[in-house]
Amino acid sequence: MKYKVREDGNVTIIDLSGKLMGGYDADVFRDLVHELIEKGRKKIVVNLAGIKWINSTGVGILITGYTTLRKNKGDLKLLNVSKKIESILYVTKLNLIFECFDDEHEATGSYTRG
Amino acid sequence: MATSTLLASFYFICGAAIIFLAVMIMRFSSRNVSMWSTALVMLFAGIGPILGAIGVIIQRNLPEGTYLFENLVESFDYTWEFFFPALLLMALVYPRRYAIWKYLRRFTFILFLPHVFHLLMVLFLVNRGNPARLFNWVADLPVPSSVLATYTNSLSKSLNVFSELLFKAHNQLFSLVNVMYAVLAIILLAIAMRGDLTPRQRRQTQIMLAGLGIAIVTYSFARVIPYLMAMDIDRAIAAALVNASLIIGGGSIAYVILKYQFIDVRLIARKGLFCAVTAAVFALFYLIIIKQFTRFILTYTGTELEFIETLLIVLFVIAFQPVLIRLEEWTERALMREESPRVKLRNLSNELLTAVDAESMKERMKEVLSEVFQTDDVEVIFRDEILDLKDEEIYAGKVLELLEQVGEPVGRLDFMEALGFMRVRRGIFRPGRKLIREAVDTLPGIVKHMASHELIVPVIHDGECVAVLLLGEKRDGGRYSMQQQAMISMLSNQVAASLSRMELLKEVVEKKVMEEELNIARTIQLNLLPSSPPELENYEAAALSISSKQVGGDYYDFIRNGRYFAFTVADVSGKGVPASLLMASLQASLRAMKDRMTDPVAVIGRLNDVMCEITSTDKFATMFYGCVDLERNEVAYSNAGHFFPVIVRNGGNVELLDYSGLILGVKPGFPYETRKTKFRPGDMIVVTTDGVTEAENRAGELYGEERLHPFLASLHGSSAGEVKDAIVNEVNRFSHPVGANDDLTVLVVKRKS
Repeated sequence: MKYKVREDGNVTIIDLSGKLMGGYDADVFRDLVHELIEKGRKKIVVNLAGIKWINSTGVGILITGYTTLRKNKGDLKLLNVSKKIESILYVTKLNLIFECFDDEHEATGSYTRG
Repeated sequence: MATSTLLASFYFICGAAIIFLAVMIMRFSSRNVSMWSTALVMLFAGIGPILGAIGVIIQRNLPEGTYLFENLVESFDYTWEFFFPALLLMALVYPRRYAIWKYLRRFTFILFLPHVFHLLMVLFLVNRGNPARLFNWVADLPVPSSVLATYTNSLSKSLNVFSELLFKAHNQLFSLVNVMYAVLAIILLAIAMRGDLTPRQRRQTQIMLAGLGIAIVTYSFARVIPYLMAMDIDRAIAAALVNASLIIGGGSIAYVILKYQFIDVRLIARKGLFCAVTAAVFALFYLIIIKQFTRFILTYTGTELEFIETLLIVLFVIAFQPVLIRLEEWTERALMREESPRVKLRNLSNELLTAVDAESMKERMKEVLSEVFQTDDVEVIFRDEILDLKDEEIYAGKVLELLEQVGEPVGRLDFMEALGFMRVRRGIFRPGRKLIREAVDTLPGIVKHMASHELIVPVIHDGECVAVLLLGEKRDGGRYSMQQQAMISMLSNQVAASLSRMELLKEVVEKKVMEEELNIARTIQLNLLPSSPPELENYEAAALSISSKQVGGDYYDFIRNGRYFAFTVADVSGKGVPASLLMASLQASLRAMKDRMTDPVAVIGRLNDVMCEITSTDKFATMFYGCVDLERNEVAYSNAGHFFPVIVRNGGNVELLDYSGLILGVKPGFPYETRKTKFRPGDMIVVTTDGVTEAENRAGELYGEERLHPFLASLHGSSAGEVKDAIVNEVNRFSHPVGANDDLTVLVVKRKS
C-alpha cells in the first residue's frame, strides 16, 4: 500500500494505491490517522481509486481509521469504491457505516454541508 | 666568589626551566598566537640569566682581574633584550586580543625594529667598530673635482659626529626604550583586566602584572635610575639585578602557565625526563664509542679525520630513531600513574566496550568525565531524547543535522553561530562570558540547553548523530585544550560503537521476547481450537485451520448441547497475543451463551456488544454462526460480515447463505437477523475464511468464488473430512509455488445421506 495526502480546504484526502492488506499497512495507516488527528485534521476522505485489492484485514484498517476518527469527533468517508470493494463492504455491511462517493467534489462538499 | 657561584647556579636553573617551558609551549601550542608570544617572552627571559650564569662559571677559570662576567652578559644584551618587544606583543594578544592586532599581525616585526637596530649596533661595537669613523667612507668616495671633495669630507665628518652622538645616546637611552615597552605592556594588561574576563584569566593577569611590575622596577634600578641620577653602579650588581628582573618577569608567566595548566604539567615532566634520558644516551655513546673510535683512528693513522666523527653522529641519530621511540613509550608508561586523566579515560572506554545498558553508561560517563575535565556539568543526551522534544522539532532536527556535518567537538560560540543565533565578531575581542550567557538566555529550549555548555560533542555512528555529550564550564573557568578535545572526540567514537552494539543486543533480545510471545499466542490458539469435531449420529463435521504465519487470526468452534449442534468460524483482526486473547474472550462469551445457542441473533448480538466494549479501536472480527437442530434437520444462522458460506445440496447445487450484518465490534446493538435453511440428507455447509478465495497463483490471479463454487459442487458426494482435505489440497495446488499468504480455515458440516 502506498499513500499520498492532499488537502482541500479543511478536508484531507488520502489517496491509497496498491493492495490494502493487513500487517504493516495497518500500522502505517493507523499512524497516519493519528497524526492527522493530532494536527486537528479530522475530516478525511479516503480515495480508493488506486486500490487493486482489499481483504478482510484491509477492511479492518479502514474501520480502525473510521472508529478512531469518530471517537475524536471526526469522520472518514470513502471515494471511488470499486465493484470488488463494494461487494466486500456489502458482505461486511460496512456500506451501512461508510459514506461512499464517486466524485471528489461531492465527497469534500459533504463535509461542508454536514 | 662563593655567593656569586651560588647565585649563578640559581640563575642558571631558573633560566633553563623557563626556557624549557617556553620550548614545550612552542612545541605543543605553536599555532596559537597568544601561546607562542608568551613562549617568546619566556624564551628571552630565560636566555639572560643563563648567559649571565655561564659567564660567572667561566670566569672562575680565568685569571683575576678579567671581568668576563658582565662583559659576556652585556655583549649578549641584544639577545635577551628582545624580551621587551615580545612582552609587548604578548600583552597585545593576551588575555585579550586587542583590535589593533588585526592590523598589526602582518607587521609584528615593527615591534622588534628598535631591538634589531640595537642588535646591529652592538654587533658593530663588539667587532671593534668605531662610530666616530663610521662614515669615513663618504670622504673616500672618488669624486671628480676637489671642490666636491671638500663637501664630501665635511659631510663625512658631520655624519661621523651624528653617528657618534646617536650611538652614545642610544647606549644610554636604550634601557629607557625597554622600560617604555614594558610599561606599555603593563598598561595593556591592566586595560584588559578591566574588561570582561573569566575569573581564571583575571587571576592569571593579576599574577603576571605583579611579576612584571617587580621586574620593571628591578630593571630600572639596574639601568635607568643610575643613569637618570648620574650614579655609578657596580656592573656586576647591575647585571645581577637585570637577570633577577628577567627571572621574576619570565618566572611569573611560567608560574601562571603551570598553575593554570595551559599545558599538561605531567606531559612536561614526561617529556623532560625523556629529553634527559635521550641526552644521556647520546652523551654516553659519544664519549664511549665515537670519541674512542676517532682516537683509535688518530693513533693508527696519525691523522684526525673530523668528518668521520660528524658522519658517525649522523648515523647514530638515524640508527637510534627506533630506540628513541621505544624510550619515549617507556617514559610514557613509567610515568602514567593510575590516577592520571588519560588512564581514567582509557578505563572508561574499556567499560564502554562491555556496557549493556545505556542509562548506566550515561551515569558512569558523567561521573568520569566530570572528574577528568574538572567540570560539574556533564550531560549525555541520546538522539531519541532530542527528537522527543516535540515543541522543538525544528531546532532538534537542525541541531542534529549541524552536529552530523561537524562531526567533532564544537565550542558553544561556533555552535550558536552555525545555527545562526549569534554573529561572532572575529578579530576584535572574542565575546566575554557574560555576553555569551546573555545571548544563550534568548535561545529556544534545546539550543539554549546545549549552548549553556562549553563544549558540544556529537557522537556519530554511520553518519547519524546518535547522541550528544555536553561538557559544561570548567571549575577553574578554563577552556578545553585541543588535546582534551581530541581525547573527548576519541571517547565519543567509543560511545558510538557502544551504542550501536547495545542497539543490536536490544534487537536480539526483543526478537527473542517476540518469539516467546508468539509461542504463547500460538499455545493459546491451539488450545482454543477444538482438537476434534464432536461425534454426531446423522451428521459429520470436519475443520482445519492453517496459519501462514506463526499466529493467525482465524478461529472456529463446535458446541454440542442435546439436540443442538452449533458451529462457528471467525476471523479476528490483528495478530499475536492481543489477537489470541481477543479470540479467547470471544470463545468465553460464546460458551457462556450455551443456553441461548439456538438463537443466532442473540449469540452474534452478544458477541458484537462484547467486541464493542473492548475500547481498542482496531479490534474487529467477522463471524459466521450456525446452529443445527439435529431433530428437525434445520440450520439457523447469522453472520457478522463473514464471507458468505456455501451450502452444497445433495445433487451438487451450490447455494450461498447470503445474509450478513455488520462486522463485530463496530456498532453496539446492531440489529442482526437470523436466517434458516433446511438440511437435507447429503447436504453440506462449507464455511471458509478469505484465505481460500484469496489464494493467489503465479500469475497473480485469485482463486475466487468462481473457482471455489464449481469445485465444491464436484465434491458433493464426499465425506466432510474428504471435502475439507480436498479444499486444502486444491488451494495449495492453485497457489503453488507462491504458497498461501493468508490464514486458511475450512469448516464442513454434512448431513449423512
